[in-house]
Amino acid sequence: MEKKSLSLKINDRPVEARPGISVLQAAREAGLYIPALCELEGLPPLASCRLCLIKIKGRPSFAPACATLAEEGMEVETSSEELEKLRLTTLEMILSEHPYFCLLCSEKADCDELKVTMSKAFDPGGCIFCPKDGDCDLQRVASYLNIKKVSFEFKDRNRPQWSKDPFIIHNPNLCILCGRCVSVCGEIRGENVLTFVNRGEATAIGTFYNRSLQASNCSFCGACLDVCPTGAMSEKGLFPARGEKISTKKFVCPLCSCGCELEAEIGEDKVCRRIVPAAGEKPAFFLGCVRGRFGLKGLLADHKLAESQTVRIKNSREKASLEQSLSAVVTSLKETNPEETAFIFAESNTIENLLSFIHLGQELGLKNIFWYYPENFLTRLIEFEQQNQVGLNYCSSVPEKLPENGCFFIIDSDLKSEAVTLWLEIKKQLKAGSRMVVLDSGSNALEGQADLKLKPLPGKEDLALLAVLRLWLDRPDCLKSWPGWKELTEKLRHYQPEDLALASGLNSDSVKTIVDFLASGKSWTFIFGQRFLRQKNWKENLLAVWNLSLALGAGIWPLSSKINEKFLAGLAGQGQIKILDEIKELENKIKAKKVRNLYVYGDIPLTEKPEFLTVHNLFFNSSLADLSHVFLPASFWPGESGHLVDYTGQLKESPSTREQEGHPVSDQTIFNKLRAELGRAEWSPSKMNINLSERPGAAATSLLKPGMKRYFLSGTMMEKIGDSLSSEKERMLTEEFIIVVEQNLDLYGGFNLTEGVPGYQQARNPGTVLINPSDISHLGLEAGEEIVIKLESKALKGKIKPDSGITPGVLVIRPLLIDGFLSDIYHQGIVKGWVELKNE
Amino acid sequence: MIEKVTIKKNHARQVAESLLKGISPERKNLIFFLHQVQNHLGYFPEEVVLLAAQYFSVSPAEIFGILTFYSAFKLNQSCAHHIKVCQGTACHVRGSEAIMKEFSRLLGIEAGDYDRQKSISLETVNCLGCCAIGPVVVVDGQYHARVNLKEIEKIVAGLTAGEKSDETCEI
Ligand code: SF4
Ligand code: SF4
Ligand code: SF4
Ligand code: FES
Ligand code: FES
Repeated sequence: MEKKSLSLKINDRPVEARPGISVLQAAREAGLYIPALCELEGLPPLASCRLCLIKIKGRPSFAPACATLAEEGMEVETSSEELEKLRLTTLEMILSEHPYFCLLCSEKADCDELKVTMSKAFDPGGCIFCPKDGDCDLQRVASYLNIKKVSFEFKDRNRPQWSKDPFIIHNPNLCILCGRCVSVCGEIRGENVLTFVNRGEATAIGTFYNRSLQASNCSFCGACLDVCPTGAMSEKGLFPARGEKISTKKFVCPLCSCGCELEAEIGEDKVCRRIVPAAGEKPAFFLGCVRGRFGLKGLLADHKLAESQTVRIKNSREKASLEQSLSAVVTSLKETNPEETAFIFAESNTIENLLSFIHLGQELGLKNIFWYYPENFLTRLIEFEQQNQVGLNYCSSVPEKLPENGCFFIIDSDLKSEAVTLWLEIKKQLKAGSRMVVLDSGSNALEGQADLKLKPLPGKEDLALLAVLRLWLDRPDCLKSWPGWKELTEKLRHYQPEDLALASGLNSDSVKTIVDFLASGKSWTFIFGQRFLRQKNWKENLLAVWNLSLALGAGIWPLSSKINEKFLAGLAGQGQIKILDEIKELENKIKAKKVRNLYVYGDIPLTEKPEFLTVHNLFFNSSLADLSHVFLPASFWPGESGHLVDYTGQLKESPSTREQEGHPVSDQTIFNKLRAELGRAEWSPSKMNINLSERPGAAATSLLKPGMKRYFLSGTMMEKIGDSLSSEKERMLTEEFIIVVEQNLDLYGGFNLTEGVPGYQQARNPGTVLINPSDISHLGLEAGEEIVIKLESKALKGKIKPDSGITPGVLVIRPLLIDGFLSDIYHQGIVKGWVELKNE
Repeated sequence: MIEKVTIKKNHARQVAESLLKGISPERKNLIFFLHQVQNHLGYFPEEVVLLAAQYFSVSPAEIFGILTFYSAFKLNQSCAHHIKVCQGTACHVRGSEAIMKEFSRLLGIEAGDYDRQKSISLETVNCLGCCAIGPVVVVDGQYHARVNLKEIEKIVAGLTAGEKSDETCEI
């Protein structure tokens, strides 16, 4: 906390304030209330509502407190007859276009009886019909000012609601034009969907050419819902709580590496009304995304919850008792040779549950305890370091905070989807003058905000980076001091930067531009995502980024989207668990009878059935559960309390959200019951010599000793350069495409958010294939048309969506990993395919 | 039909691109560019806005906001015929609302809208400064004084009969 160092007087009371805060904030921190409808902490001051006007001694006119910085010696008056009168008039003006009858009504208490007749009589509109009733800033201000009448004629705007979009309804008739939503959508979230349109009386919140939110690429982050002071932006299907008692339960979202703290609001009927980001150190609108906020709601709101409590045995549809099921599992574990028994788990769970499971496997003497990790991201980094005796040094550069005024070079990572909270931090810095370059061969929602974007061909990222490096070598500011410099330059100077650029699919001008741009910025950090290492040439990619970062003196920040990844990669590094990145491998072991008994904890796209299969997962209605001999109901999210580890390696506590009596049994109880039958003692974290109060990310990062810095190129890298330069640029057939398989995180514990949540499908379009518009016309297709893409072994279907950000000849898909085939192409990252042309 | 539209769009893009050539991509030049587009093209197809957004690093939504803010900018291709019906106080008192409604009825469009096929736009204006002769209707720059309901049919028929008036006839 900075030192309070300004002293001013507010209403004759001495008040201390931190420099840089507004008078409104200073007053608020001193416990004074000033009505304010547009100001919100965390948003830039908008000063549009004029309710916070104050009088400052020595200044002739009134000033908005929200947009006036506190100054030393200032004397401020926040309330006086004159000021309150002024505010009242302002409020009356606001209300002349906002249904206000309920605000003035003295019978509000008896409203329930009257409103039936009222709504019959005319279309009233008013608080009783508003989703925000009881939780509305406008109501608060009205009651503070004790408004009794509105002297201006009421103007019914009578504009239609926006109701076609999923999750969000905008009612322009309730909008007070404060501008918070526009500001949060553009300035904070960087989505720029909302804007003010028209002027004068017709002023309204609008979108580009009045498109729907969806057609405006709204990410459905819900931030506009969090900031709107009125019911003008409201969650679809949400009704005011009124008399109902709402309990709120905090939890950590397990759906990506951000681990956002969210809050579920549970009604008296135990149904989740909504999920909102929980404001903590940061305002709520800096957290959350469509998955956590709207997707997870489906888990709680749905009948799925009841289904998840099914215990099933031996592939019959009949329920078995938990005891029967457990003893079947125990028998199988006792009877199968530990060599032929395997455990496998998915990471989105609490650390405690995962450790208990892993430890059970260790107690049984299993050699095969797998973490299904198709990205193989951190583990590949570790491998790269160990093989090459270098230290990417990212352990120390995994910052809690980003370098101040630093610049960002983002590679193959759509942070908006993979780590949105990091993106919001970067966005803040961009506003303060940072710069951003995005190099991505697929689709990247960050491109719109980038100062420069580069689109190499998929799989040629390494060459693109080398082209940049090649040009950079000739610059005086290139860092030459690391070992290997001479060799590197000798090798690379054989090649012309133009040729390297062309081979990567870029033009030589763009590489020159980027080099100038790199030179003009400072403190560069390379941030790359799982897609960068989910390619066949991941080693070359790493090599290229490594050398370039050395030459620039830049930091490296590998970032992937999996919760608990930092922790689990550490366990894998210590040899406590093994990584399984290809489901095929396990299936082959099953076929070869090397794995005869398998216990799956979490969601794995397995299609091969071993002799005995236990599935311990959230949902009974899944193809995995269908394979199982015994299905055990999992309770994590939101059932059990525990910890999760986010992308910075920080431990986050997630309290239990589910009423325990509502759920038969926790995962820990199941593991401990199994232990009891196997004659083992109960599990506790101390058993594994892991101190959960320590920063667990250290477990992964301690493996990476800050290693040597040296330039080097590998044989395979040189070969690749040679090949790409010598081979004639193969001319592709129009129907031949390179397919980038992007990540889709809309799956959790066997629960497909896309299917399970109303509106989610519409918002996310899981089956779309992104394609360059020119390819659409070359192929004689139309936007929205369904196409069949033939891959080597199978075919895929999808609806095409034109996206001019996609390179011609490239398709982008985002499959959910629901079966072995899709997991296989996901694992490959980039595949070749042909669009099947219709015969005329 | 489809082809025609594409050709037009390409034309719009070409015009916009050539206009951008003389303008540096600083934000302060955006409004100037928008005026240029209005002058040379007469309207703002989406792709021109998207182009400008990219060039000036401003979000497309924000430019759309600017376009709707200033009445100097037209989103739609302007029509061959413009009808303006005064709704100022004096004209209002003399029944201009009914006159507007009659135009709407006959043309099948609301005020502020346009009929692409007939290429007629219908707008309201607030006081044209000649209240004495109200209700006033301006058709392609020509003032019609003391308009009554019966006259309207004639006016509309005159336009739809195809006698094109001078397009530059703006007030
Ligand atoms: S949901 Fe998010 S992206 Fe969509 S309009 Fe609201 S703030 Fe903007
Ligand atoms: S929709 Fe809500 S947040 Fe947006 S301007 Fe209107 S009142 Fe303000
Ligand atoms: S950003 Fe990640 S952690 Fe946050 S709500 Fe979305 S999926 Fe959950
Ligand atoms: S809060 Fe200051 S003007 Fe709205
Ligand atoms: S009111 Fe119509 S011209 Fe003045």
